[in-house]
Amino acid sequence: MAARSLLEDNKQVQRAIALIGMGARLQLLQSETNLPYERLLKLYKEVAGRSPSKGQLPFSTDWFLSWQPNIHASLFLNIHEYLQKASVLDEVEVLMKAWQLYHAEVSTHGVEALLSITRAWRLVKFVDSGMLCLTRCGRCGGQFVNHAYELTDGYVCGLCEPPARAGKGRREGSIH
Amino acid sequence: LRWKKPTLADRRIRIQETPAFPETGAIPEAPIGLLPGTSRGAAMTDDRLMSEIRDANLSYLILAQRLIRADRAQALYRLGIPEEVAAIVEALTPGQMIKVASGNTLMCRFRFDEEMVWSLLADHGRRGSEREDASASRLHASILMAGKYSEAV
Repeated sequence: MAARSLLEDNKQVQRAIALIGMGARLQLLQSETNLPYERLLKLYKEVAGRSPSKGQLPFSTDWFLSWQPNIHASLFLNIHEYLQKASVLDEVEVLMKAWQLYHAEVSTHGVEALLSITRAWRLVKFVDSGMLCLTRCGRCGGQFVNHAYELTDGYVCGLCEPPARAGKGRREGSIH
Repeated sequence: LRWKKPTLADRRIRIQETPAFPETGAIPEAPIGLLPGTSRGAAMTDDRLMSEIRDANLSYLILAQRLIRADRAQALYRLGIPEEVAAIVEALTPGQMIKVASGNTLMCRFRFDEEMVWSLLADHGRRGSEREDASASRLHASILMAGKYSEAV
């Protein structure tokens, strides 16, 4: 086994701490840092003060298509695309920066950040694997998350044409 | 005979040859109040407007540099500038910044030329809702703006 660089190791730990602080699941850490599982587990308990949640990751692509999540996901993905083109960061860093920008954006509008960092990570993976993509709305010209291989002629986004009951909920932190 | 790149001196000659104000033929350095046909009051507001442009330039440059130094990637998004420009702005010294800002033209400009974005940002409760904080149209504008940046680069 090659000797591990201390600097590289430190960078990975810092990155893991930042990710845990954003509420990332352990699976994300395992996939995006190359630290051993035991260390990540210890780190997680120290930073978050609790054991990581167990169970499956959110795996459904349909979640991103319902009204509210679609708005969140589209905003995040647009920011992510921009950073990917504009900056020279590696993938995890783009994910983290984009999510921070998304989080700041929705908080200023008084909306709860529905898209967790883990969901955002899955979203990027889904786009990379060609299951989801951005489709241009025919009316406003904005780009929105949509299933790949969908018929996109005359696609109109959920904000130009909200579904009947959308945005009527009185819950605090929802979009209306 | 090969084409020669114009030197700075050449350019200076050309600039001096063409008057900045074709109607009056005055040189640009002349205070506007001394031009024939302008009243003193108009010159005052003009002067003030020009100094406001310089102020805005300087604050914009300072803010841009602070944003870039705080977080490079996020600044690229917030300012909507490419990486190369960010590198130049980051390296400016205070003296250089004052020099750059001291023109009579504004360094920053409107980033969104679409009516859609402006109307979404300007009218709040457009869809018949009486509430002021219609977050849907704000977020709609955010999505459109985020998409626009990606086209700009």
